Amino acid sequence: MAAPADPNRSGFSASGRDAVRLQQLAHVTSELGSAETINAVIEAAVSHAAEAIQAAVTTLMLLEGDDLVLAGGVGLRPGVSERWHAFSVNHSNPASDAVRLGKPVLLSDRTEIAQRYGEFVDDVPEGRSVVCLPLGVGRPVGVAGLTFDNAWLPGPRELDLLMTFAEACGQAIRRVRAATEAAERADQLAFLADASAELASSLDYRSTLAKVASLCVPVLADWCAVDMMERDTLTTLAVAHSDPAKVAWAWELQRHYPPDPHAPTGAANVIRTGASEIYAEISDEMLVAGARDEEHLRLSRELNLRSAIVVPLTVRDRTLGAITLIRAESERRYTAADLAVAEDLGRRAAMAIDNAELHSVTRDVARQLQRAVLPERLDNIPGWTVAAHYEPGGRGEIGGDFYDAVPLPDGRLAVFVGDVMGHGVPAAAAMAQLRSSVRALLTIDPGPAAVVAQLDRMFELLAIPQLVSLVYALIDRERSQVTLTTAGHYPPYLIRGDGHVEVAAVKPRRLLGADPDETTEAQFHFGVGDTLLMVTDGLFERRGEHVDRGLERVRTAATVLAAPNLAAGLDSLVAEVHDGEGEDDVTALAVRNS
Amino acid sequence: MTELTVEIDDDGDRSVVGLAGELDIDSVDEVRAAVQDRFAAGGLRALVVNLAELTFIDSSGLGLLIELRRLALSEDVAFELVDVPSGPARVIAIAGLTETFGLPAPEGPTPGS
Repeated sequence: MAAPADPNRSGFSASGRDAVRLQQLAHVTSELGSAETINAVIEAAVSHAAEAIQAAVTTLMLLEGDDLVLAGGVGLRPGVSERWHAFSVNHSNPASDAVRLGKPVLLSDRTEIAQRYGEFVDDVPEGRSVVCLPLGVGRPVGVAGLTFDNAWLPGPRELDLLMTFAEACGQAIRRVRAATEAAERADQLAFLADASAELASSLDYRSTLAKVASLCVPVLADWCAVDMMERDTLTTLAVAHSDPAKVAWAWELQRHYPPDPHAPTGAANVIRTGASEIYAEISDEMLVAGARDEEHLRLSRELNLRSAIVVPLTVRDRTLGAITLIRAESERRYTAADLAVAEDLGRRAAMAIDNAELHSVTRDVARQLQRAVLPERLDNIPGWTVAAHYEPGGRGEIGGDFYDAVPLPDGRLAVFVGDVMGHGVPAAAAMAQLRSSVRALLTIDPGPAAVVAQLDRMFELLAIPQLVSLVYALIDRERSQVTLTTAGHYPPYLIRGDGHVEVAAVKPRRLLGADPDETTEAQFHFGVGDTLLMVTDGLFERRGEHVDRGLERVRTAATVLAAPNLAAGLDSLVAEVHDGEGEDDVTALAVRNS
Repeated sequence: MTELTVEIDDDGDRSVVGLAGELDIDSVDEVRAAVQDRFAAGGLRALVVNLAELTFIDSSGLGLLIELRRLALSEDVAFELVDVPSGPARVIAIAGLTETFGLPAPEGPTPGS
C-alpha cells in the first residue's frame, strides 16, 4: 500500500519507455470494470493506480450529499486525512473545484497553490504538483486527488489517459451502487411478499405486527418499531433489532420514556396526520429537540440513529398506528424509494389489522357466549368435591367445550363434559344450546341413555348441523355407583382412593349429530374417596403422536387425583398432560364422592 | 404450522382423495374445497378417501370425513374410507364411527381402555 518510492522520477510518459506502466493502468481500468463492491473499486483505484501512475499521493473522495468524503488514499501524511476527511463540495479547494466544474484541476507547485488555494498550501510538501480528476463527466461521483514529486504535470496525452482512468472509476462506482440498490429493491420486494403472506395468515394483529417488525430487520431497517394508539394512549407494540440485547435495552428506554402522544414529530404526529415522515439525515439538533432530559439525550445519541421513516397504519380513514424504520449502524440513508416500500408495507399491515379487528369482534362474541353459559363455581355442591379446569383454544379462537355438574333433588349428581366440533361463534352458540338442553333434559329423566336418546331426537328435530361428543355420568352416592355413557367421546377415568386408575370404558356410540345410534350404559362402583375424571381431547392430543399414547398419559397422571386437594391435583394433572401447544379448548372436570 | 397434502386421482368415475399429513381445523377447508370442486366437475360414481399417509386427525377432521360422506351419499356417490392408520382408526372408533365408515373393528383393547 506504500506510495512508489523511486525519488528520481514521478508521473509517467505516454510514449516509449512507460509502456509497462500504461499496461498497468489499462489493467487497473479493467479491474475497475469487474469490481463488485465500492471497497474493491477504491482499492483498485487507489493502491493499484498509484503504482501505475507513479503518484506520491493518491486519494479518492466520494460525493455524499454536498460533502466530499475521503474514501481511501495512499501516501497521505499524518494529519492530512483527518483534516480532509470530509468537506463541502462548495468549499474552495482543488478537489471541490474539480467536482463542481467537472474538469481536472492541475497545480504545478506551491506558488500556484498558494495563489489559488491559500488554505491548502500547508498540506502539500515543497516540490509536489497536484492533480485533481473528477470521477466521471457530467455529474461526477467524486474526485481522485493525486500529487506528484518533482512538480510533474501530465501533458495532454497523459491527461487523456488519467481522465479515462478517472471516468472508469466513476462508472465503476455508479455501477456498483446501482447493483447494490437493485439487490436491495429485490430484497425489499421479497420482503413485502413475505410480509403480505405473514399478515394474511394471521388474525391476531399484535403478534403479526411483531413479526412484521422483525421481518423489517435488517432488509429495511436496523431498528423497527410499531406504535399503536389505543384508547388515547400511544403504545409501542413491537421493537425489533438484529441484536436481542439492543431490543431489551430499547424496551428499557421505552419504560423510562414512554412514547409521548403529543409529540410534534414521529409516530404520534404520523398517527395524528395520517401522513408519512422521512428524515434522510437525523441531525444532533433533532435529537436535542426530541429529548426529554439530559439522560434521554445521552441515550438517544448512543443509539447512533442516522436516518428514519415513519409511515401510518391507516384503516378506512382511521390511523391506528405507525411503523417507524430507523437506520443506525448500517450508515445508509433513506431515500424516496425506501419511503415507497415502507408506505406499501404500512398499507398491507393496516389491511391485516382491519381483518383482524373484524375477526376479534366475532371472537369476543364467541367468548362472551361461552362465558355466559359455562358454570362459574362448582365448588359449593354439598357432599361433593368438584374441580374444573377450562381454557379456551390456544389461538384465541373459541372451541365448543362445555361442562357442568348438576345436583338432583334426590341427592344424585349428574355431570357431563361435551365438545362441539368446529370453532368460533357457531360452535359457541351450539355449545350454549347443548348445555342448557342437557340441563333441561336431565330434570325429566337423568338416566344417561335417556338423556342421550333425547339429544338424538333433538338433533334430528332441530336439524342441528354440528357434531357433538358427550360424556355423561349419573352418580348415586347411596348405592356407591356411577352410571355413564359416551357419545363419540373419550371414556372417563375412575381414580380410586388408593391412587389406582381405571378407564371407565363404555361401548362407543356415535357422535350426536351423526345419525342416531343405540346408547349403551355402563355401571361402576363409586365409593367414598373415589374420583371421576372427564376430559376433552384438547387436553392430551398431540400432533405426530398416536392417540393411545395421549390417553395413556392421562391415565398415568390421573393417579394424582387421589390426593386430598382435588383442585390442586387437577391443576398438576393438566400441567403434566397438556403440552400447551394445542389450538383446541382444554377441559377437565373431576368429581369426588367426599 | 400444520401440513396437509391433498391429492385427487381420478380413475374413470372413481375418485381417490389421498390425504397426507395432519387433518385438522387448519386444513379441513382445503380438503372440503378440493372435493367440492371434484363433485362440481361431475361424472362421479365413487369417492374413496385414502388415509394411508395421515399422521393426525382432530375432531374437525373427523367432522370433515362425516361431511364428505354425507355429501357423497346425497349425490348418490359411493363413499369409502381406506387404509386408515391405527391412530386415526382409534379416533374414529372413539367417535363411534367405525361401522358408519365401514371399517374393521380396530385392533387392541376397547378404545380408551
